Amino acid sequence: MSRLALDETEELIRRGLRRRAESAPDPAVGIRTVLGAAPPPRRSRTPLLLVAAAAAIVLAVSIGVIVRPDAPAERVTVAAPGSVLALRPAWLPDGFVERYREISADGSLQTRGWTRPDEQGQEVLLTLLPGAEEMPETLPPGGERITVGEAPGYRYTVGDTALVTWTPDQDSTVQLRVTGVPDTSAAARRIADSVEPDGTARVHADLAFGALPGGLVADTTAVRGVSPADGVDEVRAVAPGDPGRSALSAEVSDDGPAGPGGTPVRVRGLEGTYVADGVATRDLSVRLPDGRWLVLRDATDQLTREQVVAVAEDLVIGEQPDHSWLGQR
Amino acid sequence: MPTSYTEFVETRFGELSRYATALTGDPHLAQDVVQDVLIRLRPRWGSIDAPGPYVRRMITNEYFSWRRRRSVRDVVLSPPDVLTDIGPATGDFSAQIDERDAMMARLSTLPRKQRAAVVLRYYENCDDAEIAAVLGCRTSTVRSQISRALATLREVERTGGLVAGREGTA
Repeated sequence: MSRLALDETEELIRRGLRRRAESAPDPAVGIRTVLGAAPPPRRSRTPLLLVAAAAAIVLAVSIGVIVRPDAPAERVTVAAPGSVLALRPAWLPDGFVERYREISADGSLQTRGWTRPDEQGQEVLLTLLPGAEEMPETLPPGGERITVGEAPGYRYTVGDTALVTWTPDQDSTVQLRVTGVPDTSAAARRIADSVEPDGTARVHADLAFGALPGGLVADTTAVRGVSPADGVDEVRAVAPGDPGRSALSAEVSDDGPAGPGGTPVRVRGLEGTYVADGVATRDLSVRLPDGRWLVLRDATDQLTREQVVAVAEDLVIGEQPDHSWLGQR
Repeated sequence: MPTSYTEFVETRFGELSRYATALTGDPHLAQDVVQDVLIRLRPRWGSIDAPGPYVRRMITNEYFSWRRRRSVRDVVLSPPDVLTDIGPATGDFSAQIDERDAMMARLSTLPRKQRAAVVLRYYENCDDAEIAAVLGCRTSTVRSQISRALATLREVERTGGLVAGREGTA
């Protein structure tokens, strides 16, 4: 084993990146999509449905606490087993099972996902967003105006993916993305037409942040997996002013850290590992007494190791997450 | 500088898409990221003084956080990082492999922030301060990230195979 010369390495990087960049798709399609898209929905604190409101209330206690930089953390007692999801599709193509649920801290943004285990690349994602999206004045090629129920909306098909967007009321927008399903556009329409209030499905990770440093705010809870046996629970926090990016996440699952390395660290009375150079994160992992792994990922580039350890210490980790729905219709 | 949002999208989409492709290594994901970022940019357009750097930062942040925006297939069925799924390059590469491809394979094994720093330096020709602004870190951190990335990228096996950089945890 030896080393390339530095200038040789740099030249190879430049040439390689230029070549890689040349594989970017024709921008015409992207430009049409962007300019044809409606403005993003207005942010609204008012959830769409009563069940969404209920979700917000329940989630506020289940996701953890918000900690201001200048104030001590106030823990809220978990009062209900999970957060209620507002919508479900009454119809899905045969073979689809649910594998993903996510809900924001205020309950106003919810996502559910289904895939077909026996068919790679087939998936359905249903997302509830706060605020009514304004319908675009013009639609890009492949787009058409539709109504879902009595709600105005539009459908847009690109390749094997169909997107259906509609606004059931002035406070919410629903987006449906269907990929890889035969006759994708028609299937998406049928699924959209079948969407109905749920109010029974829940997200219960049994995991919540305690005190959070640096002004971070608990943001979303997600549960994912193929079956109840391999469920993964995750909570995420964001930095104020950058709500689109997960700054800190905590995950409990049967999977340990992906790579070797790191330094030993004592956390929750156990021997853990702290890796200061993960994938854009600093990762802390520790095996819990019940055999599951806790992995914290710090993408803030600002927290110290001690602060990350403190977050791990303060996490509320229950032993009864609800994975019963994973792999079910 | 473009005077309108529409003009900006029409004139800069291709450039941004190429940057995102260099960053992610996935042209289709890159297009999704750029589209998403530009759509979200629209309502803020009037308050942005320098949209070029601003959008580049948005794209880079999206790359860092795309895990939460990826498809349910990726979220559920795959390990947590698409790029790291490419896996470390091993000795299977033949001596005839295109050296650029080999370098890109090694690049794909780097932790994301190192990878982004390398792309900003060698594709976008950004200096330390510009990279720091995009990544939201100090210039000393930028120098450290690039130094470590180059140390990894320079390692080769003379038998023709490549030695992967240490895989970051995901």
